[in-house]
Amino acid sequence: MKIITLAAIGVALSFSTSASAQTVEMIVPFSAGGGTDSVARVFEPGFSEALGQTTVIRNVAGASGTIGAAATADAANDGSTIGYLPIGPLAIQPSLRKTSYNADSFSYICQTTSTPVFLLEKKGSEMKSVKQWVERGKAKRIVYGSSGPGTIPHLAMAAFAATAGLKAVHLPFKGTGPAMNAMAGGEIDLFADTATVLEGNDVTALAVFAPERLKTYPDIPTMKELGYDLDFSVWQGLVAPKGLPKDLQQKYAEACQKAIATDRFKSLAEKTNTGIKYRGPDAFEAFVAENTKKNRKILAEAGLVK
Amino acid sequence: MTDSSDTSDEQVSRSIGRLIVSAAFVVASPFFLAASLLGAAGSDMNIAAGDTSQALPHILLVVWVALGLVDLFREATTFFRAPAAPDSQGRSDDDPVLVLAIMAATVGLAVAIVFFGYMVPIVLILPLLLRLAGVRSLGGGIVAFLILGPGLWWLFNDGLGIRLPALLSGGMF
Amino acid sequence: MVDLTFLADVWAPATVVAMIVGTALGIIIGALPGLGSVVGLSICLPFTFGMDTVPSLALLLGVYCGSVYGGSISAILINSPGTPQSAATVLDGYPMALQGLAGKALGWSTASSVAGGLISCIVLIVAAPQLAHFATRFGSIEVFALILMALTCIAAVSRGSMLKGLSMGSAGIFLSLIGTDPVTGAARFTFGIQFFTAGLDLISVVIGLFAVSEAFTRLAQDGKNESVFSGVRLMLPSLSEWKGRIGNLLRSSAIGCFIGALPGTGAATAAFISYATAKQLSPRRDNFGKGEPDGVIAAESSNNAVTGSAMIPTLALGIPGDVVTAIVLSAMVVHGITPGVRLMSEHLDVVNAIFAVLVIINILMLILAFPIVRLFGKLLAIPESYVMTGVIVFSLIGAITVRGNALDGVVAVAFGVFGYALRRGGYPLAPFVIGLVLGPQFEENLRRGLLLSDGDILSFPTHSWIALVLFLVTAGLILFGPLQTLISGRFARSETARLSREP
Repeated sequence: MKIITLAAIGVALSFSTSASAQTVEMIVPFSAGGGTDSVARVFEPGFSEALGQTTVIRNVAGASGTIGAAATADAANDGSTIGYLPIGPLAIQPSLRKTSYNADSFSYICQTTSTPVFLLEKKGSEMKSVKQWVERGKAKRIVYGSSGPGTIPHLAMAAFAATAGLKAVHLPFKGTGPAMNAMAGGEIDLFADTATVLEGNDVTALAVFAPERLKTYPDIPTMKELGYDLDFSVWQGLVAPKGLPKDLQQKYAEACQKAIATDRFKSLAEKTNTGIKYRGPDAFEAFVAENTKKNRKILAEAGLVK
Repeated sequence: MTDSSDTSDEQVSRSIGRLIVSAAFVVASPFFLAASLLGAAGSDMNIAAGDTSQALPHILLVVWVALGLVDLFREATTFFRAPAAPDSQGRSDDDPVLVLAIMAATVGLAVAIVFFGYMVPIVLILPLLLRLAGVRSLGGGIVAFLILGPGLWWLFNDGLGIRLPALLSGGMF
Repeated sequence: MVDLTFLADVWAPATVVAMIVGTALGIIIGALPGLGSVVGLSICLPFTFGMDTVPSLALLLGVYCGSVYGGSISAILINSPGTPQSAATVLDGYPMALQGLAGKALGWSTASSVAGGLISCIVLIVAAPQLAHFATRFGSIEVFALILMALTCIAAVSRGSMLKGLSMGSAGIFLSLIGTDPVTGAARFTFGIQFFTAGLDLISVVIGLFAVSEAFTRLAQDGKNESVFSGVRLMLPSLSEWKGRIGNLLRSSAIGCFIGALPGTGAATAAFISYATAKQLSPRRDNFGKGEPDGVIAAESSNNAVTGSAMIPTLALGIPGDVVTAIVLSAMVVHGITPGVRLMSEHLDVVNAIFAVLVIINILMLILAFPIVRLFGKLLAIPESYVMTGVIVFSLIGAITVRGNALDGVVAVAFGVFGYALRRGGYPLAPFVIGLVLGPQFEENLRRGLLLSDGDILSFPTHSWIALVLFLVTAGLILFGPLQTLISGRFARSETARLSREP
């Protein structure tokens, strides 16, 4: 077996010159056409150009993005493989279940986006404010939906229900689409998701899970104003397997900063109400560590982990 | 596919084959059930989940084994009453050695791709698979090899932009 | 009256080319065992970034509709559905081909696919908002009742042995639950292997079970059987042959239209429900499973009816019904169109263009089917040893590319071995696939229903009148279907086969 391996590697090496010199493979942990993939595909051309190297996207889907994240963590740390990962597989799933990697398994390159989530209800509901929902939630049971266990919509709502002391039932769906269908049919009362979902569906925003009001939605109060200090956003960033050489890390981070400043990326962000947020290698690493800790605490309070 | 050459011996061995498949199919269920009850199936990852997530799978496993056992019993009684019962679904002319060899080559190919990427295993195993499949002409074999091996690799990786597994990420193979 | 400026977009050369290329590519990809709708769309998605809105949507919709139809070609010719959506087409399509009626079977599947597709276009154009709002009344408990009803199909397709069929069905549901618990996120039956937390991929399993095991079966005979279908030509059924089958076509298309409008169900579910319904209602029900055109009509008209109606929640509510419509939605977003409730009012031109494109694609399918079927006929003239090795290689690539995971190739091959053994053991494969397709939806909706009703399953039928009707129909189906067969089987064991066919 070992001989075959060595022989195979030898054959491969003799044909491929230094792997890192040719193509950078960017793993996206969801299938083509998903939310993360759409952003990654617009990010990629700017990144390739700034780097002066071809980058190809490889979709490795499954298990809430953890399969793709694991594939990133397991790859060679010579810069030939990077991963475009969102919050779920990076800062939530490793707490929720046993994964072969955790937040320490990566070298961090940059954060690209950060989009706060809103508290949503069905349009035309007789409930007009967060206060009314809290009163009702204390009196009787309310039902909130999510796009799956351990997703940001779930965590944000679980944290809100716990902080406000609501009697709430969590109803998980496979993705936002079916959940929105359930909201239109009145099966769920509340949902938390980004402005894309707010704009695309018959829903009204009651509050935003952000420290300050958003410029684009100045009339929507923050959770903090309403007395619940909750801050939830969906974010994405670029990582590499642990041990990426420092010079490469710096080079990639610079290319990343240029990529998210391109017109193409900015216009996509505007169209999809995605917030652009750059954090460099060290700041991003610290942010992920802190975010992981916070999410783990909420999962424990919601009774999903010990 | 004529059945006229069938001797009764072949029919008996076919019936035995049927029995073995049925038995193996029934045994699979208790295997999962035992694994889950002993905690070997990995259900201990999420303590707070309780046993709600196991309830439906367990019910299904019990249905599977119960129906399977009744079926096995019926098959067995039929067999002992008339071992050479004609079998409408059986394919008498399968060559067992050949089919096992083809399966082994295919399984080997799939497993090797996991470890060594697409290109190296396909170059090594595809000629064998073509030979086992009954390709005898050298020219045809080479054309088939070039199309199904390197051709498809090139088509997917470079033509269509869908990455097949590679030995070295970003590398040629 | 109606603003027709959108027609300029539809007749633009780029759109016409995109429709032709997309549809042809879709049919070919669908017909190749192993490659299905998702792979086809993933291939085309990057190309759409450089295209205008209408042409890029035309390309994606062409690939989608084409691939759903294309799956029937390999279902009929080589006993392996090219895509899971065509799994029900195998049941009667392949027996027809074995009787030398391959061209005829392809004709029925083509005509039904096009008819189903066009009917769903009409429904989409006329009644999208109404149907979308009706669909929102299907909550978890109602969908659970619907899935339960669909599961009774397992009995309908259990050829040979009802016991084997039912145990295969439960095995299929069980295997579909391997992976992550949809409610708690806990890992189940993963044996500590991270790959299994993602669950078994339906496409890989279906590829293995049908295509790979068919390749094993044929190669095992070492070229002893001549390929019977080389040079096959498409033969459309004549108008007189449609006599007595129109009702089946309309009913199956209606089922497809409705299932498609429910987010999260899909074409494979629709095909099995229509097949089982047709088997109960067709005057030729005794012939089902032996090469009955009604079976092909039911399966193919309903799965293609889903293609149009899956756009109903997508366009009317901005809710993608499945992975495929999600990809179409993401293409809209890239082109600056926000899908959602306001799509119809803000981008009526695009919506109208989509309607027109869908109608044209379905007509194109009818035209393109002829040369593509001839092409496949020519391919099958190549000795079987080459074709079947090709099937194995394509199956591997198809499985690997669905989720970008090489282990899915191993899953496909393992299910190929499993499928071969089951065929030898006289087990019908269809019940297993039905279990796999419906299992996740069955569990999810059941668990949500239990959460909503505080664990009281007995309150499900009284949840709403829709639920009540569905549960009553299901009870009727069980009482007059499998239960009857089982009881009659016990009293007259040797005559089971004959009795179960009596009405």
